[in-house]
Amino acid sequence: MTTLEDMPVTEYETAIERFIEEAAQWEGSLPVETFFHAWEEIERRRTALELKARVVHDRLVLMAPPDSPLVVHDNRIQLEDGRELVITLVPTETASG
Amino acid sequence: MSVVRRIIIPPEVTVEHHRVVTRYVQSMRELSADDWPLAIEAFNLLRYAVVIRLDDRAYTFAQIYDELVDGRYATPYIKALLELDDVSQESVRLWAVAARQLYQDLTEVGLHDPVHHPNSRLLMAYCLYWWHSFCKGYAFEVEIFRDLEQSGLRFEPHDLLDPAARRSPYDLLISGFRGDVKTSTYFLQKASRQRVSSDFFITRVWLPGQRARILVVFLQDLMWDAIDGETLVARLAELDAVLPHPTRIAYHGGKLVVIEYAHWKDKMRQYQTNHGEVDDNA
Repeated sequence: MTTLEDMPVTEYETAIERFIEEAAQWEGSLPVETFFHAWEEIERRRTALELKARVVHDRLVLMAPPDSPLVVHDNRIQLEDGRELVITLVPTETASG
Repeated sequence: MSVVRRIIIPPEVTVEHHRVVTRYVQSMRELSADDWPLAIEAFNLLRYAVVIRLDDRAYTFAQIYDELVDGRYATPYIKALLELDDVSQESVRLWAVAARQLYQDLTEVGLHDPVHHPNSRLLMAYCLYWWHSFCKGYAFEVEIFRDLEQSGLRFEPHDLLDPAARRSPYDLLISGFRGDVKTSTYFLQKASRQRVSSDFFITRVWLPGQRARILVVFLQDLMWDAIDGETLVARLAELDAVLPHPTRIAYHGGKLVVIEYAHWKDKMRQYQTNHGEVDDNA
């Protein structure tokens, strides 16, 4: 199967234009069995909440996915009870201490 | 002119993910029950794909979407939606106009360069996927909120024009019950990121056996017990045959009651009348 990245450019552009037309007409209702089957599979696959982290100028910067239930700001994670979880980088200890 | 030096796709994105993203773009309505979880997983993973620009600045697909799509188009789209008389029909045009505009925007700022950086096509697919989920999801939400208003039910919707409120864990509060209003595909997207915790959610499904789209409400047991009602017990595979009768089903990790939307509204009206929330002559 040819993927999006492998298609000739004109074929890709046509596919995008067709997508916009088709998607406009479809409001996102799945057949009921497809919906439940997919939901079950999603529940099975779902894992722990995920955050990404990056070190920027010696500071830890956490990033939550766009619709994550987690609220993060820089190195702080807002907990449901109103407290904050703060993660701080510490220098690596060397073998010589 | 392209500003892309390199695009890094997370190593977790497999060949199967690439293929299902392609199938989604080519024929989204034909995706199978096995395709949907894979497609949703692919678009979730692509959040972390990174575009490294010629000036060495790096942005994830999610950051690009937030800034160039959600930041520009989300609130104007919702405002336009609220002005429409017939949301389901007229919102079609709004989606298409903004989708073409975002294609143009990403190309003009040089982040979408399908000739020299074929991986930037995944950025385009990613943005269109999320924009479609957003547009159809909120069009559906506005439709339902209007209908609930017309039905005389008391409820508190979240503020659609407030970006922070749009990200609230539930969409409306009715008689103390927390509810979600989602298209079935948007619902699956949400379920992929967090466990369903609302007391009820309203969605629309297609019943192939009855060749009909119907609005249904899924309720947690607690809410169903509160608003009362008898149910049939059915397996998922039998739903098509038993709906619209209220039906209790087992799903992964729990039980839910499925009820036709109009029937649920009747139950809620009765509940609110019994509890003095609405005038029974309303």
